[in-house]
Amino acid sequence: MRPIELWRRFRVFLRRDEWTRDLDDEMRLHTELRAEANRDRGMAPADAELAARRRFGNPLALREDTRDVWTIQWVESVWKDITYSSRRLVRDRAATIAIVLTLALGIGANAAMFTLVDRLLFKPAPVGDPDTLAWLLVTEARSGRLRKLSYPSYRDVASRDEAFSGVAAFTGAQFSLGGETPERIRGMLVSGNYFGVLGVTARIGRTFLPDEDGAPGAHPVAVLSHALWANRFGANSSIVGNAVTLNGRRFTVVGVAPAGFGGLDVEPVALWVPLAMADAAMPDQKGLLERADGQWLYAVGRLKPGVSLARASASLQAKARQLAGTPDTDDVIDVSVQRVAGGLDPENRRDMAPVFGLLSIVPLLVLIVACANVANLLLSRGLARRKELALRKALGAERSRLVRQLLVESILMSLVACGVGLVFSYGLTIGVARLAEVPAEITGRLTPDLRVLTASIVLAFLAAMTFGVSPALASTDAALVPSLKDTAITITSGDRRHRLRSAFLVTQVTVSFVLVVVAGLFLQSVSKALSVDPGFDARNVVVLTFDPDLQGYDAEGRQRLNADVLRSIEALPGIESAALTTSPPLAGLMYGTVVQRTGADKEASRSDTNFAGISPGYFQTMRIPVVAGRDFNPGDTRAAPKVAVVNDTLALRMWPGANPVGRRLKMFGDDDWLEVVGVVRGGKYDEFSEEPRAFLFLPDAQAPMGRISLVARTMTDAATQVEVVRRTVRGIDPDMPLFEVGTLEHTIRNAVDQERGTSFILAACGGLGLFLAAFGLHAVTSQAVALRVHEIGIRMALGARANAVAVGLVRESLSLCAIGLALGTALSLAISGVIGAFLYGLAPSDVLTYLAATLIFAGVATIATLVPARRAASVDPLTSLRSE
Amino acid sequence: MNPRSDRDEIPQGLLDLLILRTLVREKELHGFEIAQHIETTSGDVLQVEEGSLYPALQRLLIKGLVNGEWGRTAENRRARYYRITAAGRKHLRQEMEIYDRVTSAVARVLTPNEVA
Repeated sequence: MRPIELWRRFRVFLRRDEWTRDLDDEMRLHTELRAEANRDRGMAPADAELAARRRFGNPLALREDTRDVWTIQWVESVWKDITYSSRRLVRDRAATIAIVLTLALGIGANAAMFTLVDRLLFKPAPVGDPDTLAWLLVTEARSGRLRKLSYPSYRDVASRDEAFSGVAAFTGAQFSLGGETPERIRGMLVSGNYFGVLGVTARIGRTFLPDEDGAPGAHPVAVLSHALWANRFGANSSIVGNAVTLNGRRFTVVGVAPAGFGGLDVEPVALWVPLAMADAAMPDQKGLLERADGQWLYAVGRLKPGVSLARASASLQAKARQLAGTPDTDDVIDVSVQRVAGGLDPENRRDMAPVFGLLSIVPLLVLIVACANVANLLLSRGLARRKELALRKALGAERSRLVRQLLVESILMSLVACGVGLVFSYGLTIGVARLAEVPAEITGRLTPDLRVLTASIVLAFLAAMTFGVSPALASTDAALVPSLKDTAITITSGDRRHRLRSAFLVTQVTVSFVLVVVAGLFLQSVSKALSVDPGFDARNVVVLTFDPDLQGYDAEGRQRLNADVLRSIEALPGIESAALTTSPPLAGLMYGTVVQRTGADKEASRSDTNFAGISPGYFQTMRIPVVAGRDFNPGDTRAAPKVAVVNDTLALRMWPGANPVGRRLKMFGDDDWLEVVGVVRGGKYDEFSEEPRAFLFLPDAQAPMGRISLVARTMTDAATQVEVVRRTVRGIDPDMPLFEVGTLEHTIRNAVDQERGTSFILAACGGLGLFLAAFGLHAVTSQAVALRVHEIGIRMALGARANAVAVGLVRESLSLCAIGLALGTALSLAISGVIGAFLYGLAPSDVLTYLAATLIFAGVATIATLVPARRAASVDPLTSLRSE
Repeated sequence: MNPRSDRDEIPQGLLDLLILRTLVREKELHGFEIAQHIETTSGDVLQVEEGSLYPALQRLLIKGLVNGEWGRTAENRRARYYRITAAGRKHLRQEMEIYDRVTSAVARVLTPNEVA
């Protein structure tokens, strides 16, 4: 059919109602004119009309017939292709299953990755009209760092911006939820218009009123998440109007949020309270609401109708200075907006997007290998079906028709594979999540949805086109009809199909080699990172965290509580020693500051550093060596002179070549000088793969802050002591929630989840690629043997030795494999720059990895080709010649 | 099935030719006029079935062999007037050649040149 005809048909299809009306008009006119003609011939008017109508027949049927002119061949012939293809696929069951499973692995791996990436980066937020909701981002131009807003600058932008119909602010906060079993929950402090701006209405009760976010501390109200309401309060509606205890204070529940809404983050929030309650929610940071230099709020705005992101950006940029918070800042501030999507806050999003970008490519590579594999299988099958195809062509089928039918087969298989792949991907997602010990509330949000389904179907179509087109063309080429006459199908190495098949095979080996190399690099990188000495002894340590501030302890009370905890834990028979710290190592909580030393000029004497408050004995409990000076001791009380311990990295930065003990330094924004009393050896604090990090330790008594973790060294296996430690601390204050309870080794394992998850995915993809490549080599060699039985028979009858025949076949496959390996090496080296950024402790062109991957491939390829080659060698010349 | 079998029906391919030929002669006609014209020109031997006329016209429209424009009849009634296109003329010429060859061949076969 010519394109112009297709276009005419399409135009009629678009305006089919008008077209039908026109046709009806035309037919009515025809009937009327016929009736007039009848009357002219002398019939009575009634008879004339009846005769005309009778002659015309059933207008509806005629309309259908006429419509069929436009459509029917199409639908009918495609439908025929589908039914014919299905029958064929069922008949060639074994090959179909092999192809479907191969594709299912490829599509499934992509669906799993897409589920994750979509959830984190792209999926519309669970709010009303997510397309017009945007983050307000404040970036420091020089450092590129994203800056959160202070409350005054939020008020400023919210009240005066013309691009947004409303701007809401919020920040995460941990709450201690009182009751029979006190619990630590993730909550959120939100501006009064938060729910309105997001377009979320309460399931029962109401959301916040504007004035509930007015006078600080005046309105202790809360909205519960649906999950918290269901799990903790038994989905009892009477909770609305009643009080819950948060951080020891009564908050009135005004409403329950709808199911499925847990804020904009992928990690759901359990409840919301107004920003005006900030002091009660974050007792360790009182007065944040007034501070112009506070950086603690995220802001999202609802765009006014018709306002584009670019216009909103421009309108905000004009107010960049107010948003900067500190008016005297010398840094240039850049303000922009970004559509709300996915489940990560802007900072995380910026950090994670490149990682996921890289990760998403990997399953696509697996799919490419799978497609090349399937293309080869189809090519072989097309060869085996030459007689059938030739017969159909001889009977009058056009080549385009044959190609189309073969493509329909490909698409059908691809769609079935898509279904199988989705099931497989769901299993994979759950498997990865379980392996990485991702909390259930997050995995619950990783189920495949309509978006994943759509993406997978699109991918399946693309895959079908990728692997289906060239085999379909090659199987129906001009040389088809003569094959009817041939009794034997012979293959010579010059054959076009043969070359195509070699190309597919080389592609497979190339791409899967890249996959294996990348997987190998990452696995080594992770194991290198994990085998690094963290600078402390993580074995046999129980960790447990609590937050005295949230229970209303003042500085005195906190000291008494700490002392009580340490005393009773150390009294336990299984405990060797115990200590407290605000930041247990590798547990994901870090405080940062800038320190400066006495003397010298201001700039040169400054250094960024992380810091933690600890109790005396921490270094001994963690087995961190004190290399100079002393540990803290009970004499370092609140009243005593302020002291600090530095790690060797900070010491080197501040006083290179000198003994730091006895020197003094000051934390940015503080008035008091701290005297360095000791130096400890550095280690890993936030990540295994981090560069040496400056660290400052302060006595908890002199710098009380926030949550605090108990670390207790046990005499035997720490796991056996977790429960008794937990019970002992609980006995001291039954109202205080204890969280992150477990062994230190377990906590650390969680800290490297991302790395472990990444390398697991890469390793799985590498394995999949290797498997598919081996499968492909095997299939291709088998096919070559099957097609050449005749030739082999003759050669052996003429005296060729069985071994020589086998060696010939193996050499052929292995030389293709070698080309693939060479290309794969080149490709891996080409992308090593990108990979290098994610590796720790080894170069992206690590020779050993390449060597190992090559050896693995050579081994697998040899086995995959040797098996069918041996079959060739066992051909009985007589049988093979007689079978003709 | 057909109660009016006193006149001859026209095979589909032939109907296309007749329509095109009629439109060459008459420039612009609506459906009823085309049917009338064929019938009268054939001396009322050929009867154009409405059931095949309109599908045939749509087929010709798809192939671009005729155009259809809406206009008014002499009695001011809305009607679609068909005109032959350049492609239609070319098609007609080719088909006529084939038709001539075939009919003369058929005639040669069928003409009794021996007396039984």
